[in-house]
Amino acid sequence: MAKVFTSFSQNVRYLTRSFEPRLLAADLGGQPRSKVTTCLFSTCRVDRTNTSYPRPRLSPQEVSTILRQNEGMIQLDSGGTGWTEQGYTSSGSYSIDSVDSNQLASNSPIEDKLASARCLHTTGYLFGVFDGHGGPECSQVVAKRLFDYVAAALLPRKELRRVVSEWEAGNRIPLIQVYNDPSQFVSELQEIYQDSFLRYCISLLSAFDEDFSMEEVLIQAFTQLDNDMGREVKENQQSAVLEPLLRVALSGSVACVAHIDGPHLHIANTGDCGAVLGMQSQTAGSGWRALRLTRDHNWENPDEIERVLSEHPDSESEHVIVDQRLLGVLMPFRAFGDFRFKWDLVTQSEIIQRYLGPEHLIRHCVTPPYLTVTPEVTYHRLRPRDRFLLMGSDGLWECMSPLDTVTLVGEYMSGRQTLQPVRFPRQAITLREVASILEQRQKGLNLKPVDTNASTHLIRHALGGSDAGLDHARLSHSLTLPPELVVLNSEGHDYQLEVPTGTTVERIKTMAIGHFFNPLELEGISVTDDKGDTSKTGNKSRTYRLVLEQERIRCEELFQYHWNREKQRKEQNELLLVDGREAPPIREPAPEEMTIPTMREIAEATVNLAKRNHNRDPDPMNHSTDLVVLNSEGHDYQLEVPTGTTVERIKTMAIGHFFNPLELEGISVTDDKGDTSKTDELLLVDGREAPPIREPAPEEMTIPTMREIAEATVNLAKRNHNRDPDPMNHSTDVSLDFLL
Amino acid sequence: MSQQCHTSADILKGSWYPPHQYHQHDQEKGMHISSTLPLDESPPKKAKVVICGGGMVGTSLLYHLAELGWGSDTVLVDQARIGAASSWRGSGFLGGVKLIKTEMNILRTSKKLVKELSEAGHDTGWKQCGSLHLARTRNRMTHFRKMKAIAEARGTECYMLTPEEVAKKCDILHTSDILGGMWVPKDGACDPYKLCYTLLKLAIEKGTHVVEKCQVTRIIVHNQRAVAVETTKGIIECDYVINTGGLWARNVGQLTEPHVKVPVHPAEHYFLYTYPIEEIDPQMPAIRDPDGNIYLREYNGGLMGGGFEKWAKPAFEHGILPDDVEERDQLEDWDHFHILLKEMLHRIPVMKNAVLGRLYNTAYGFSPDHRWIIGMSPELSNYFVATALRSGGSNAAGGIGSLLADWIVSGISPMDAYDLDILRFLPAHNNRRFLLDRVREVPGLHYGIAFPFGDCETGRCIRMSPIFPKLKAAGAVFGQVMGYERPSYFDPAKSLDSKDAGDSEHSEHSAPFHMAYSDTWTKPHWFDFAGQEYAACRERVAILDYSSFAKFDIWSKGNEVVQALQYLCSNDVDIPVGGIIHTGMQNSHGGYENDCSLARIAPNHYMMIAPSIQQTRCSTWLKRNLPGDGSVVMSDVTSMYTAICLMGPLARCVLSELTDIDLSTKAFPFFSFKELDVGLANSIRAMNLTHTGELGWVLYIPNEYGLHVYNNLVSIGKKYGMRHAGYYAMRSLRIEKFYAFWGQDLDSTTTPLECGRGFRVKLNKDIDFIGREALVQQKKEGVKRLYVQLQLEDHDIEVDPWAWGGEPIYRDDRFVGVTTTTGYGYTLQNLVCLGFVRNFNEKGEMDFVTPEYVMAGNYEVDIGGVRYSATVRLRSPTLPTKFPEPQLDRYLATRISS
Repeated sequence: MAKVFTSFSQNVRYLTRSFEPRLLAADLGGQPRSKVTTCLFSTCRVDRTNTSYPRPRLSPQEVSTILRQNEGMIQLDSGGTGWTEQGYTSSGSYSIDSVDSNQLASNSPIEDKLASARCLHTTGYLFGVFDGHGGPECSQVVAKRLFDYVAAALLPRKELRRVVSEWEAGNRIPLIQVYNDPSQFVSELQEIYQDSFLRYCISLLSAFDEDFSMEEVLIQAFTQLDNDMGREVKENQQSAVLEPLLRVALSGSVACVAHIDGPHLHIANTGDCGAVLGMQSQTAGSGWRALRLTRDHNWENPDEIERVLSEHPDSESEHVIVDQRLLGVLMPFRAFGDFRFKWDLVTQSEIIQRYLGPEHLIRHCVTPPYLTVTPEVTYHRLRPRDRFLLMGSDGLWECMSPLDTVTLVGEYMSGRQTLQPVRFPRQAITLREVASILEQRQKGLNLKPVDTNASTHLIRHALGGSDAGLDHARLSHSLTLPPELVVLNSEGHDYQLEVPTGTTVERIKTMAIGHFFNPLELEGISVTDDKGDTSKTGNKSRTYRLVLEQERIRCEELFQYHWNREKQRKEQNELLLVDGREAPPIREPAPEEMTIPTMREIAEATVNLAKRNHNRDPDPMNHSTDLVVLNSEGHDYQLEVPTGTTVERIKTMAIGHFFNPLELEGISVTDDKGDTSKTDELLLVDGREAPPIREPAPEEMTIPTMREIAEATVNLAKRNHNRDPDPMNHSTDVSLDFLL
Repeated sequence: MSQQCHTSADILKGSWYPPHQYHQHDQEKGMHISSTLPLDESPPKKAKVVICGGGMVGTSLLYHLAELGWGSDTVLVDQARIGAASSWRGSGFLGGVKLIKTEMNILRTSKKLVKELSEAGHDTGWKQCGSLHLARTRNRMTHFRKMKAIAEARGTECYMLTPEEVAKKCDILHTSDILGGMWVPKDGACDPYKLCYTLLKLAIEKGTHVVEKCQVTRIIVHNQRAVAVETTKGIIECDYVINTGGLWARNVGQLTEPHVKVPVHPAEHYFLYTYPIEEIDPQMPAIRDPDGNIYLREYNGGLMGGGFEKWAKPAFEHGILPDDVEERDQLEDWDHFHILLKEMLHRIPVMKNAVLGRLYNTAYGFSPDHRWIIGMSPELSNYFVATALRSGGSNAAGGIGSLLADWIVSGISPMDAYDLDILRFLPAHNNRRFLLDRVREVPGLHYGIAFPFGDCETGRCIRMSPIFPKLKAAGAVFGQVMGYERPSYFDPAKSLDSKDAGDSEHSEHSAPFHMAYSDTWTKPHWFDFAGQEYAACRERVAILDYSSFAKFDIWSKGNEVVQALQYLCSNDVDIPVGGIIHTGMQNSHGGYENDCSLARIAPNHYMMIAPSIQQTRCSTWLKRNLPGDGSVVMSDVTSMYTAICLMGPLARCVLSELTDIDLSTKAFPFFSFKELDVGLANSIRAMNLTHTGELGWVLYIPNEYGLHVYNNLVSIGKKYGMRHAGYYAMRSLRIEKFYAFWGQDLDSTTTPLECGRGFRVKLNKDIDFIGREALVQQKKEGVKRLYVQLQLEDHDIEVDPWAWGGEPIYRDDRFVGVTTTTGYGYTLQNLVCLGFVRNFNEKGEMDFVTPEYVMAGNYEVDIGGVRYSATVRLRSPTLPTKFPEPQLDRYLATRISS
């Protein structure tokens, strides 16, 4: 059933269910506040409208068990114990109350990784989300190594010198305290990695002593680690651990890392994970606002496209970004690993060709590097109404808008905070104000969620949320998906679909079309069931084909990017081959279409903001101008729009967002500017009808009697053998052979 | 009133007390009451009275004892500083309307005291601002009308107001959601702190001793009397000990051996004070909005509010009370208070603009039934208790202090209200966990509508008879009496035998427990169930659980028990073995201390059956009056027997099938007793009486046989169409047959001559008994009230509100008395009210009442403001029956010959 669907784009991704650490950091009048981590996956909102789910196959308890499997929570002492004896102030911790994390696997082994750690010698905390692709190895390794690189670069020179000398003397004193990760590298790898790290530390010592910049530190740590990963392969070609090293280097991972030290929040982002800050609206407690702190490095970001294209000769422009992907293969435009996009051609032929074979080279890879690891660093100074930070991999952002997630977590937090006694400000307060504060708390109490972990709460709602609250049937359904179907486009890029039981091939095709194509361009599309021609079709004649499993073999050569093990995984599944849509042309927006402030305007407006540690605009992603989309019933939806988005695009997005593409006919888009002057563009589009709230048929509602249960489960132990023992594939981390 | 404003710093430091002149003075100098009043450094070695606890009621008692001239012989000790704000904090309300006479009298006395003190120039903060009670529901309006009816009859000015009139009385009230109000113009409010200070000052001026920071560590008991109080500042020998320990009262009770059981548990109670606001009129009425669970008043230019929320929070849940009274103020739980705050802001919208002064969360002690606990402890005869005042100290303390002082000084108990007496409790009520469970619910009862047969939801299923699971499975709906679960009625649809429950998974033991409730002033929803049970009792046969009745064995070696009982009982108890006699046990005024049945089991052995609620009271009275030499032994066997009543014309047939004994009228006459074998069980004490005037037997079955006998009776009974019947049916039967019950109709001031039971008093024999003198005197002089049965005439049970007791009775348009118990007479087919008729002369004094006077009048009963005419009766009626029992029908429980 999977339909990937985000608020702002309709591009297809790996349907990884990814994770989102959300950190929640804020201070209110010096009070510690909580911080939350969560993780998500991809879901399909299309089905929210009208699908009726079969009787839930999972009980609420089973659902909760699955959801909570990877739950993690860190409660930080507000007093900041642990560093006071080292003479540091506890300022690092007071802004952070707790960290909630969770992840729900979509791939097995899980390719995403979460990490949280405390710097032992400085006062900050580090949190990261690492979303791997092409295998879990790179994300695993980056998650385990990166924080050490950051922590080392943060150390004062003197301290670093002491650490280095200790290390050289064989005493490997830790730089960070890692939460909730007991795993270790196998000793051979450990040695190589420690050696690299020591080299890095020494290079830091000898580096030119310039002013400390957090941004530089983060960028340096990212690039150094990435370089090391590539170098380690080259230098250890004779080693027994070459294979794992190679796998680390050839798989990839995007990363989003937050460093929080008191009110100072830095986010370093590489790729398409995201971090959002949840802010309480200034009007006492009514509503939440979301501030995106990262930009995605992918096809959706015009700046990125421009950057990538500018780095390569014009002759290549046709091949650099194909099908919204780097060289037609890679979704994110920045990442760790993926050295087939980074190594020069000589190294590639030395290593890839030698160890893997020529078929593993990337087509059109002419002037590497195509891929960079350099993160974009954002600084944000935490204010009292910043209540939490949400970090998540693209799976989260694909199924929920930042505002939705922030509202969910915000409400969740009000529920949590009412557990503490209320304290009123010391100055005179009227009973009206008292009552209003209590009212808010009461709301929170009533909404008290079933989950104690904010991340789980978010996942639960992302999976099971419906207009009328949590829908257990939906939730159960989302967690009991049948085997995945794979959609291939003619170039062999595959998309995994999750399909509800009973879905017909016809329906999948319809979904696929709705999903991959701009609904505005639907007219003239014909769907055929042509099994013959797998060649690439022309731009205008759009044909979609269904390829059955046996034909899949013929497409095998199209798989440039997947490890062999994937073959077995997919062998029994039906395969759908549909034509891919072209990337829409990137059009330079005409000036008159710019309805939101330009970068310059933003810069002017924010010129007086605290500028510490960064040379660039402190808040490049400031979407201060919210656009309001109204449907015909007057319900409004707020959109936050990246800079440079055109009105046309917003309209397209709005339609794609609020309407079932299948029901598009008869929809008119108007451009009514009458009501709201100012800079806001008002889009009035016809609403689709709210889906009728269906009374579940009695037979769906009835709980089985004890007797029925007994009958149904009489042979359970026996029958279970025949079933897939792990239909969900929700094991946390498959023990990799190079991890203990 | 002072418009002075305290500084906010005071509030925030938590040291803000109501800004009285003297207190501010104290505050500025950092002094306590001890610096303005001459307190004693240490207690005297000897005193007549030691009062333990310097809260409002202790202070009031001290004052009243001083007024009665015992000042120099009285000492008050408190573990903390005297006059701590939290011990003298309260609403300050004075007045109010109560259905219970004693309660109402206590409130009146309090108000009178404060008025008098103010008129004498003392500072009490008194203002006669009137009290305004608001109703949001029709049931509340009916409740108010009933309260107004009784209050007016007893001389308290009282008006029902429309919402518009309410708005006129207090223009800041939001009135759009109320249906009306009750206005009591003579009510008022005081400043509790000032009042207590004044009382203390006056008491000290009269020579009383007051010692603070003096903790009672032990109370020494000798011969069932408290003889000395051991404190941290020395031992005080004494004649009386008064436990006014408030929420510590239960703990103080445990300082004696045996423990004096004072069932109180603290719960959180909130007082909100605001800074002054302009809109407030200093003379605004005291507002009670019981449907919103709140009260409000003007206080120093601002508002003060509190409430009795539906579900309260217990305080000091772990049973460890603080030593320091200051710790009685706990961290305020705003979320909990929010419910009340919302109601307050709703009721007085301008309150939203008021600046928060301070919210106090003060723990108060509550009894298990929310009523005050007053009286002489059952354990020790010179140990008095006055506690569980909720937060209404200022309202009640004055009256309670006066009552207790009179009692102690005169030695005569004025305590005629079962509902307030400490003797209404059992040791079981003193279980801390029970109290903890119950206290959540208790504060809310205060502002609940006092529907008939009110019961609690917490603390249930504590005492149960062995056949309880069977009754539950038979569809019983239970009410609680003395902790006992007694079937109120049976709902066949809830029975496991019913069709609905046919394939239910419930077994007998898992059958759901149903609590009885009545949420209406009109015809209750169980009316038809009780009616069917009533019919079974009168026309076929029914089985009832009487296990809750108090049961005692009294015996002696020789004849002593007869002698002793002859002295205790007003009837001639020297009956043949195998006989049963109804008798009262009178006090020296001739009033009923106990009303019971005595079965003579052997020449020197009686079994006593008394009403359930009499269990503690009975044994206390017996213990105190049986010979001190131990020659007569008494044992409470309540818990040893299951009591099953088989009632109705076919009872004889049913029982005959299970026993060999001849049950004919001749062989086993009415009012006789035999020990039977029933089924395969033996030693069952069968008494041929039913307490309702129907034919039947009550079987007192040793508990281990209970189930066996029950099963046999039920299985045989099927043949005869036997039904289960509950308390409501039985109550209807006995009201219709004009049977008086102690605690409901009779109290310790009622004499047998007043209630048509002169025929049960052995005045014509020359046997002395307690109260004889008074009764002889009364017989000579005549009585000042008579017990009557009134049958309403034009009352429509479907439409009109019902009488549930406490309704004024009018004779020839003049108030003559109040109904005690009432019920529907299923045979008489109308409401039947029992009550007393007096004859008030012009001065309001009681004149003598003769049967002629009673019969000559035209009667009306006022139910919620509407008077229904009624026919009067002085003797039990003879009801038509298909199965006449000549012997039975001749017996009239109540009879006054004219």
